[in-house]
Amino acid sequence: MIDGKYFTKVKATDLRVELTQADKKLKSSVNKKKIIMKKIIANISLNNNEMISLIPEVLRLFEINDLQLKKMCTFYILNYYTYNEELVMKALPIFIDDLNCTNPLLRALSIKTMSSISIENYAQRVIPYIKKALNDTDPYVRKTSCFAVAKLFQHNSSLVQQENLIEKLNTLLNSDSNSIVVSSALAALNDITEHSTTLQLTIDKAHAFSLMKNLSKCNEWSQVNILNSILSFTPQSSSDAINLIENIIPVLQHENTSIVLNGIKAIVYLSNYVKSPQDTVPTLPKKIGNSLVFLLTKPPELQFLILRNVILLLLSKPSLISLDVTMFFCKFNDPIYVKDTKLEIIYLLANLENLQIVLRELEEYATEIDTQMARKAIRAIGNLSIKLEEASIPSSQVLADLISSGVPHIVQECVIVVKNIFRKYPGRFNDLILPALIDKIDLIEEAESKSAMIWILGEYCEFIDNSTSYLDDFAFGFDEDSLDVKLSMLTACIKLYLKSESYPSRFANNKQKILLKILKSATENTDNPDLRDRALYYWRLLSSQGKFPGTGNRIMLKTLPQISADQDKLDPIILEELELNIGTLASIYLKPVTQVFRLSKQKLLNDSPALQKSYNIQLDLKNKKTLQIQDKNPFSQQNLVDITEEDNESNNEFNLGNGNSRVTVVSPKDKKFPKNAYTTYLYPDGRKTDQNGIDLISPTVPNGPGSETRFASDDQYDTQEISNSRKSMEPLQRGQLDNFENISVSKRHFGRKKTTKSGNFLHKNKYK
Amino acid sequence: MISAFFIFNQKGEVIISRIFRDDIKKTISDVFRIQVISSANNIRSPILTLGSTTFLHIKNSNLWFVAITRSNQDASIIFEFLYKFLDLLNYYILNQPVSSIQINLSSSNNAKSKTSSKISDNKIDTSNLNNLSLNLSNNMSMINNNLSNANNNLININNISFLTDQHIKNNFFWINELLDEIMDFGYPQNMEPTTLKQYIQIPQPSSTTNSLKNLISLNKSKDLLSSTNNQDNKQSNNNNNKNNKNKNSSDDIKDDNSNSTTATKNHNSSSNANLTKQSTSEISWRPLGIKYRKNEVFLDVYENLNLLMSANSSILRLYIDGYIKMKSHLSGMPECKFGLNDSLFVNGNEFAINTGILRKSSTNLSNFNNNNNKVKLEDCKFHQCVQLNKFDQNRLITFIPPDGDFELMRYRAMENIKLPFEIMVKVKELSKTRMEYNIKIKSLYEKNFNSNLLINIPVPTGTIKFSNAISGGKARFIAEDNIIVWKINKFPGNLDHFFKGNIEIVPSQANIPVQTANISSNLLNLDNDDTNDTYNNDKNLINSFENMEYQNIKTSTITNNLINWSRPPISLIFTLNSFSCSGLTVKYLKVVEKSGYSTVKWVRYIAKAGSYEIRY
Repeated sequence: MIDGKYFTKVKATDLRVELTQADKKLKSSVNKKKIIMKKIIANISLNNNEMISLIPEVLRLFEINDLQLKKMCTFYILNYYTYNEELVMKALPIFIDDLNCTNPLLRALSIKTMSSISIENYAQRVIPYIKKALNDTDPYVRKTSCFAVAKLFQHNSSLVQQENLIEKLNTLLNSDSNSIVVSSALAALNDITEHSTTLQLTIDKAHAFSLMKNLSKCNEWSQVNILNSILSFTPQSSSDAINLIENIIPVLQHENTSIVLNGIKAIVYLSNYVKSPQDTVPTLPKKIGNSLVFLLTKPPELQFLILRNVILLLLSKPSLISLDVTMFFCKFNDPIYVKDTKLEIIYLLANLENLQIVLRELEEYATEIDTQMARKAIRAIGNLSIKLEEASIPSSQVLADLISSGVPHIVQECVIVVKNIFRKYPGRFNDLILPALIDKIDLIEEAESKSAMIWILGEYCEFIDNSTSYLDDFAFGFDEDSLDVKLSMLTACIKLYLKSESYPSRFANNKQKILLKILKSATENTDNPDLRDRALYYWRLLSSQGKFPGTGNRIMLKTLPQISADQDKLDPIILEELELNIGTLASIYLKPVTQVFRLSKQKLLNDSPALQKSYNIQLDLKNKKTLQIQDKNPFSQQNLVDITEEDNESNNEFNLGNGNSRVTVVSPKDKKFPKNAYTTYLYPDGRKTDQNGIDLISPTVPNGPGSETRFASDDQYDTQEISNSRKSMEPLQRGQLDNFENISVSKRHFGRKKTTKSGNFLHKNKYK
Repeated sequence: MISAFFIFNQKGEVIISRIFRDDIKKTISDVFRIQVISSANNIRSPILTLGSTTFLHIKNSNLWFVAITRSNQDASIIFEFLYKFLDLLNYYILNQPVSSIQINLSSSNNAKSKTSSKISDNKIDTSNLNNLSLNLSNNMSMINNNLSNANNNLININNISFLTDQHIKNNFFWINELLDEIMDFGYPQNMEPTTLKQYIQIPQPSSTTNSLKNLISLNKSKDLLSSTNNQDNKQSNNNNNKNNKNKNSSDDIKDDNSNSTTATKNHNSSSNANLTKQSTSEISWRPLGIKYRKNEVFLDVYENLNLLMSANSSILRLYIDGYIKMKSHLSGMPECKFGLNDSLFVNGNEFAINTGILRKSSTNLSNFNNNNNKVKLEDCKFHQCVQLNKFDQNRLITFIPPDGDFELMRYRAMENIKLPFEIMVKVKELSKTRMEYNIKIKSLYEKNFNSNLLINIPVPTGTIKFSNAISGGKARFIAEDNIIVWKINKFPGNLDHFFKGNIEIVPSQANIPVQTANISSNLLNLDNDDTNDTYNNDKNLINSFENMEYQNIKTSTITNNLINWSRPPISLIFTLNSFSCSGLTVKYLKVVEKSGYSTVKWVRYIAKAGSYEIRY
């Protein structure tokens, strides 16, 4: 029996003839009809729309009591009911007939199909039968009915609420003896609350524990549902949380990734309610770490997901996870996205003990053929030396070696990294790296590397022989260069000029010539006000040297503030939210959920006496920018339509079922959030509050990541004016661009680093 | 959860489409086609988010399995579902064991993986041949492909047959039924292959006689293709295995038959009621009323050895990921208790070690377990049938097994690992266009063991000449992969082998067409020397001609500069029977059933190379 032969286009009339012929023969007619039905379905998937004319015939076939035939007929019905509503109305009696059948599979099929149909007034007619099916004797039918309720809620949410179907689900949740039914009810409720603005699922202690007790009696997917629902339980005391954690630990041994990740999610969630979980359950970090590493034997896509979550855990709860860095070394044929993520983990896991082995590994990657990978490895080396002071010496050595290899893309990247190292440890590695760098200076081409090199030339011109002529070479195509390069060129020339006055012997004579050429180009041949203003400012500064001697040196040759690796850290609020979303798509993007998916509900830690949390209120400015960008995305237009109206009238809270678990109806107005400040800001669907939130809070933001106020306090020089204009013009464009870049997955994390880097570059410019 | 599910073929045509929720339209498939499939060469992530819609895909040779979701959903469930679904298809259509994940994984890009036991080889080949018979009428090129596939099988480069869109089309209807069964409203449901078989009429891939024929023809073809399984036929235990295998396969058939009959019977509603009860019961993976005349359990302990060695011979990473596969032919509802010699069990003195009934298929094994009989497992993961809480409390592995093949557990070990080989690699650049390789490999296991070994030695692009002096085996240069494959079919223990190779790299980019032609003739010459298998030459002929063009493009874009060469690591592929690198042994397996039958148990140990890489 090969199904492929059915995939030929046929005419509806021919099939009709075949059917009537099959009707005449009594013997084996069911098989014959199945074959005809298969032809019909094959034609549907071939987009042969003639099939729609066969409705009466198919309905007749539907009456035949044969499971396989019925399955095919429902496929037909679900495909065509939107074109012909009469079809469903006619099919309804047959569905109802099937419900009285003794075969549970047939009953389930009928429930499944009825609930999938979404046309007006249909739900009303179906609900009584679903209600009945929820109390069916067969667990399989009950399970199917649970999902049917969720489906109906999707079609007509108010009706489902009116008809108390949710209450029915609740009773199943509490009283059903079959744990798979219970877990299906949980899944359905979770689904419903996810899509409702007013409903919330809460589970009380007794029920949470009984769920955990029955965990081993479920199949794997039910276990996932149950573990996920633990997040709806708010532990009121630390001992409850510990108890549950201990109950969950065994599931980390499961081979199903989603069970393990959901188990970890539940553990991480509960650990927020325990003072120091790693002391109470000492084996916990090892167990979590091991089970995660173990999952790296899964296929690459799952590996990727797991690795992203490892990053998340390393950022948010490093004390809960213990890992061996060598397990994250790349295999030669790992896909690029796995390699990328492993690289980040290696960077995060690097410490004094494993420094040597990590550096050796990174050097290996830096010479890899995939240029993107190589560049990231080089960045990681640079970041490492900024993160760990002890790493700076060996990693500078590595960088010097890499530079002398003379491979173009390696050199480009090394220059950028070297600049950062110079910023962090001024003057410490001049002898080590500079000669190699100067040797390969001809290879530097890309804008970012060029501007980094120019900065180095300006900053260290007194240590570089012929720095003037190198700068002159770079100045050759000044008018065509990008703004970044132009700005750094400008500053470098001024520095060179000022320094040459202090050590005249070390410089060639043509320095003044370059300076004049650059100043002239920058003031006359440019449309960019930033560049022009700065050039004019410098010009004035230099020409007033006579009147106020030393001003230039004081402003231009000031020691720069150190950069740090703090930017690696994500905002604790974002982390908190991401922790509750371990294993989800948001954990891959490592971004606030509402930023990636506007419609999704915000998850927060529920307040309880046992909650262990303390952090400063911070504000994520980027959040808003990305939202704006997403608005421009054509896809989000659909999103806007999708937003459901808030039901402000239902403002009451009531207990359902036996009081064990309940669905609470909360109106958004009196939603009680533990932290007012950020919730008003991050609140998903009220965009007005966004605005207000920002206006209210932003003046007091202390050192938020990427905030421009960060270095402003140090900026006590006459350049205030410039830096102000800087602030208003450039960072905005930049920020938006960066965010754009961040949207795609693969670039994301390192994209962020890039942001900080270019951020640094900006700050640096501000100082000149 | 999952809003829609699609299977695309390589051209981007939708073969199967399923919409599970209302929040998505069928036309969304076009978006995926445009955004992902048409830019297939440059995929940087398995996940793509556009607005609120996310596409998650996995790729199996030339089929795309795509799940589409709205908003923030659990990606772990979705990917697990996709892979489990793929497993189901492999299981039903290609008759491949369920844990093909492992195989898929290792077959990813380069030469990797494979050479498993004889049994699984057998299965793989049968399915290949099934393919052949299916497609015979359709197109000849397909056969060529498959032949070369089979061929590759033998030289251990590409393994196993893959699902094709023809497979999907030919099984269209039950796949659709299957999807309805395993997914409701986007939430995955019970996906145990043995129980699902009873819900859905899944036609056997080929009739009994056919599969028997296949088996026979398989054996023939094996002889034909020669140099097949170079495993130690002389070893007595292997004969044992062979018997085993035949028994297994015949049992398979029996089993399948009984199942298909139950499936047809299932149309009366009372048995259906049982069915539904069972699928929602606590033991959803095992149907009631299984009966075997002979109760048997087969345990296969596979160990993938993963090694990463740096240029100065220091070990950067070394671990074993092992898995224990079980094939259960047991009647009724047996409860199994299972014990290993790992240190996880050190405290469990109360469990008497009972090896009385345990028949070891390998007699040599114990030689390898030195005094240090305790093995430390870092972690283990179990099939869903294992009661995890019992394991957590008192380290007992208790379970009621599903019927047939399944993967009981996976484990990872990092300490006390016995390496089977010692390898030294020296690569010298003699000049800008010439390089010299010196490889010395020593087997560290005992004399009476044999392994088959394959060493992949990467060479720079544009290599045109290769000459070697080796102490054993055969070395071949495969131009299209830029790799030298050194194959030693029988590598006894405690022996050294040497490889000395010189290569020449094309100095500039001029005259490339001529040179590639040289390559292919070179290749053929080489081949004629060292192969007596009939297909190799044909395949190489085809390949070398096909690759002429390809080579041109490749060499002209990539400069043959030695500096630019990324020096991919040398990788080893081997299989070693009856060898346990971790020293892990199965201590006991108790089967308890109400009726109190006795069970015959078989244990095998197979060590394989996972990712065994040496840098130089």
